[in-house]
Formats: sequence, structure tokens, C-alpha cells
Amino acid sequence: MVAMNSKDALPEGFGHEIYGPGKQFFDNAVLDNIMDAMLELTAALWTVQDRNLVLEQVLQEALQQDAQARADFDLQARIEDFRPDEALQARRLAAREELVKTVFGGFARKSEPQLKTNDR
Amino acid sequence: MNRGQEGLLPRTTTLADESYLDFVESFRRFNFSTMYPSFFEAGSEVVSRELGPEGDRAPLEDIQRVINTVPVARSWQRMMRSHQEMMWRRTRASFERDEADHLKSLDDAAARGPATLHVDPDFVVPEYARREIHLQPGGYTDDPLGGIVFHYGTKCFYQGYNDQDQHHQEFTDALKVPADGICARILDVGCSIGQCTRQLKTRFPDAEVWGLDVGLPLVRYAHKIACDQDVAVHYKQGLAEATGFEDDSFDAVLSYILFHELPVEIIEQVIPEMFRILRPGGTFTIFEFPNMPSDNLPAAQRFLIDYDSRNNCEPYSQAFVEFDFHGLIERSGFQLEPGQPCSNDFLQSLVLTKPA
Repeated sequence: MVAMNSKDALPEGFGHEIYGPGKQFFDNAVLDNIMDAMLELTAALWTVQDRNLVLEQVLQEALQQDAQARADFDLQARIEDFRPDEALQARRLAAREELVKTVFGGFARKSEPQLKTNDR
Repeated sequence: MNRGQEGLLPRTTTLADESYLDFVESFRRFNFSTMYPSFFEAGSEVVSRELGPEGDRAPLEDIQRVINTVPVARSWQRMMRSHQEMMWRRTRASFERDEADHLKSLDDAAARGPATLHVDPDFVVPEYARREIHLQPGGYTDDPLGGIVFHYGTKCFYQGYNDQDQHHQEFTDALKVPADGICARILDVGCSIGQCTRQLKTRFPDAEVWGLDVGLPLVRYAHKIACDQDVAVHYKQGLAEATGFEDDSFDAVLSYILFHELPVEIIEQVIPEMFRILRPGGTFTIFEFPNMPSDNLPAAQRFLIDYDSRNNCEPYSQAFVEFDFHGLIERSGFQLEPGQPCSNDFLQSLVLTKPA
């Protein structure tokens, strides 16, 4: 069996594409940076929103247990272990798609070319 | 922490990772279903207006210059690149938390079987294969976590529609059995994490099924899954252009989106190698990117293919699309016929037969 130690096996330049200097698509790199920031912020917002959805479900289940079971309840572990049913999965998906559309939908609007821009 | 599996798919190590990557998956869907059509329409309009009715055949540099004047085109390019970076960064970070246990599980699989893993310690990965294809850190060859990272990363790529290997099932089902009905030894060439390989064993339980890939992290992970699922297949780290298998030793070969990841000069060696290892009457079923001269495509699609090549680390795909693949197949001695269509109508489906 061939063993691979991750740190030793990593070549120089590993992850250059995603950890490197990145790509620029707008004439002003600040716009690239702002859009990256928007994406990360929206992902963070969704992560919190999703945890709330899961938390509500876990707490709902906890409330139906007796006092002793609630006392032993490890909330953190239950959240991480939680497997949503189909109904909650559908709610999560719908809420996520709505958030993406709400925040980023404006970018898909047709807009007039800016032919005076100094383009690549 | 190890949060187990969701069917065939590993779960990320935290709910926060799962939520973040779900967001990336939804964003990818938005990019394709909403942004891309808008980009295509606005790009086509501006090409027609600025470059005239023959704009589709204009030099690529002119097409890029005018399409880049459309704001949605710039935004779409940024979004495509950004979400792909986010996907790999978070996927790798998630499984890195469980790195030691995961790597141990790969080693432990060797002692369990029933799958086997064949690795030559003197094998040297060719430089052409050591690219960070699709931006995956370490590519297919250099990251010990590459198998599980690839698995979850491609969940986002398929936008959730392949979580239980449904696409691979379709390609496995389409493998053409030789005319004499004998299919006792099968090769999944460019097997990656072995999804088709395992399904081939299910379809042909009495056959000896092999998966071959250049990426050690991929075949190690494929082997572990096969052991977990009690599937007796064989994985080997190796080259499609020099497999090391005997002449006339396989009844059927399958490849799924392998060739566009290879330089043309390697493809010119792979097809003769497949001819060599197939027995007379053996079949080679291929699902792959299309081949067509690029100036036959709409301007916006030419823009897209070039964009993908440069910004999604697809260094060889553009040359493959323009390559005379069918000519090579026929010159190599195969009989070529169209294969079974698949649900991804972008892909071509081919069946090659070595004359009996």
C-alpha cells in the first residue's frame, strides 16, 4: 500500500489556481473584489439562515422529549448530526434559490454595451 | 468530525460547510439558468451589431473585444470563476479537518478488500497530467485528499443531480456489449473515483472489471469506496496511453469525458492503445465533448469555450474540440458508429469496434 503524507506530498505551487493572485475580469479590479465580497457575504448569510432552519427543527424535536432527555440533550451534536426530511430539504432549497435570485438577479438584466470602455 | 454519508455521497465535516457549499451549488445553477442566457443573448446581439452578419466567424479577439463591452458578460465571467474558487476552497477545508482519519481509512481498505489496488512505486506522473484541472487544488494527481475533494466538488458541478451517481449509471448502462455477447473483462479508462467501474461490476457481476486512472488520490479513494460497498473490482494507477495490459485482453472499454482532458499528442497514443488491448470484436464506448471546427459555432459559444479553457483550467479542451478525433479513430482500425444518446446532449456518444 502506498501511503501519502499530505504535507510532504504537496508540490510547490499547490492550489495556485484558487489561492494564487486570482483573475481580473473588470477594468477596475476593485469591482472584482467587491463581487467576491458580495458572494462571500451572501454565502455567510445563507449559512446562518440555514443553521436557524435546522436549529428550529432540532429544538422542536427536543421539546417533545421528557425532562431527563432534554437535560441530556447535546444541542451542538444534534445540529451537526441532523438529517433533514424531504420537506425541510425542499424548504432549504427554495429559500436558498430565492436568496440567490434576490441578491444577484439584477446582474442578469440586459444592459447596453459600453463601447467606450477600454476592453481586453 | 465525520458526519457519515448521505447514500453514496460523503457529508461535509460541519453543517456550516454543507450550508456554504449548498449556497455555491444554488449560485452555480443561477449562473447557468439565468446569467448565461442573458450573457448569450446580449453577447450575440452586440456581435451582430458591431461585427456584422458574419460576426460568428470573426477572429476570436474581435469577438472578445465587443462581448466584453456588455456588463452582463463581465459579471458572468467573474461569477463563474468566483463560485468555482469558493467551491474548491471550502470543500478542501472541510475534509482537511478529518484528514488523518480519512487517509487512514484509505490505507485500511487495502487490508480489507474485496477490491484491489495496483500501484507501481516507480510510476511517474507525466507533467501534462499535473494541472489543477477545473481549479481543483493539486489537480487529480497531487493532493492526497483529492479523491474525496473531487467527489464532493463534483456534487456542486452536477448541481446535485449526481449525488447518487445517477449520471454514471446512465453511461454504464449504455456500454455496448460485443456482438458475440461475451463481456468477461471490462476496463473503465480514466475512471477517476471509480463510479462507473463499480456500476459495471453490478451490471456484469461475473466479469473482471478494472478502473485505470493517472491520479493516485482518485484510485485510492475509488478503492476505499469499493471496499466499503463490498464490490470486487480492480483499480490501477496508470496511463491510458500505456496501460500495461496484455494484447487482446479486454472485451469492452468505457470512457466518460476523458479525452478532452488530454493533449492531442497523447490522444493519438490512447486510441491505438485501446485498439491493442481490446480483443477482436471488442467494443469501446465513449462519451465525450463534441468535435467541431470552432468557427462553425455561435460567437458567444466560442467566447465560452475559450473562457473555460483559460479560466477553469481546461488546458486541452479547446484543441480537442477542434481535433479530427473521428479521423484518428478510423485510421487506428476501429469501426466507428454513433452510440446511445444520453441526457447531456452536449456530449457525443460513440461506439468503436475492433474488427473481428
